[in-house]
Amino acid sequence: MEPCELEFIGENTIIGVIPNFTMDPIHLISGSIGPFRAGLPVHVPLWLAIHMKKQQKCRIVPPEWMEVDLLEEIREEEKRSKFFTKMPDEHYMVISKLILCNAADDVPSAEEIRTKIKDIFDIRDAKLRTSIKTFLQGSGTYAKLDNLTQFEIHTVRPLLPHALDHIARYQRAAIAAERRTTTMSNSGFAGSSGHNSFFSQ
Amino acid sequence: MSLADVRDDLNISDEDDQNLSDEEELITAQKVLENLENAWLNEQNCPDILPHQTEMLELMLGQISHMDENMKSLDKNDFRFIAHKMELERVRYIITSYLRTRLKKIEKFTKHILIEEDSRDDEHKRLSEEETQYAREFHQGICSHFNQVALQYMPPNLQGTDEKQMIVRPNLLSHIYLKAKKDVASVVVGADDEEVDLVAGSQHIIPYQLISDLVLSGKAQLI
Repeated sequence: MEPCELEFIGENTIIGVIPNFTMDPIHLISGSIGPFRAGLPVHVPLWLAIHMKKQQKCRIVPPEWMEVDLLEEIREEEKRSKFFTKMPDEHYMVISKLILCNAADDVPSAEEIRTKIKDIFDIRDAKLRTSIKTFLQGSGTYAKLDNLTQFEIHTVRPLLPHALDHIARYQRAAIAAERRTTTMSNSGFAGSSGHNSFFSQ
Repeated sequence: MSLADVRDDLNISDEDDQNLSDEEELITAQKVLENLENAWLNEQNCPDILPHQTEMLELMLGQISHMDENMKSLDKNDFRFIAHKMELERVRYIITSYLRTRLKKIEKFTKHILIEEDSRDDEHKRLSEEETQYAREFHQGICSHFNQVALQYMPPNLQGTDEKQMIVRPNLLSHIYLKAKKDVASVVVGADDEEVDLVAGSQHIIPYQLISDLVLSGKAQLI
């Protein structure tokens, strides 16, 4: 999937805003929002929050995890742990990018938070690359990906499944070739084995 | 098809059909949207074509035109109008992207999908009527195009084409990302019959064919 589609999905996250106007509830297909009372926090989808912010109709309440000390803890934990730690939000990259780009003035110490999140992502990204390398050098075609977020999974999307597809294809061809040479010992030509799979995608 | 039908499907009480409260209507529309979003994600990440969602699509399209109608009375600068308008655009995007993804697969694996489709009984058809018609016409179009552009100028003994050799099939063993929605015990994950238990919420990378039944039954979601 395209990065913009991942952003689109992340935009469905519900987030707090403090509106500066008063209005009755709005019944959206995805659920009702409001009532809006000026100065009182209310939950809306992120896509709407960003729009409201651009129209200067609200302040955005940063999610609880968007806080320097907490992010620092997460970063240290991520460094310590051999495995991927659980992120505070499935779409943490999308949410933080959208909020920090559009509403940095609503986030205390925005710059520091930006750096911390970038650090966390970089650590995880490096970890992901090393584990992929180990995984591909092994013989398995299956792996568990717990605690990786959708965005991270998709950063290695074209590469990882594709590489695995090729490896699996060669393995199948090798097995078929072996079978062929053992069953038909007089046949010296095993190259066309498994040809069915070569025609497929 | 009306929203009442969905409510039936969801076993929501039909007693006060007359004065159906707004909220009930919204819960169901919300559920339809959720189903469409999941179908969209599945379709985009699946090598094969999945069962069509005509029912959900019709419900959602009905809801959209209903809302379009209602919104005519609103002021275009009203915040409510803008919020609804933005959401409808998002829903429309999901629908079009979903249908386009399916069309792409139909155009790529035309003959394969048609053969598979013929072998299925009416209950289990994967293409909607319109898609089936499109697939057939597309296939005919391609064949006659080949014929007009090249084949008819070939020597007669080379004009025949072996259709079976020309079928493009999806690689059902290609690897996909999967998120389990429910606990599923002992799923075969490798060629040597290795088994694992999938815990609800866990994520995996695995060849599609091994878990296609979980996707079809909704126990797992492609991501």
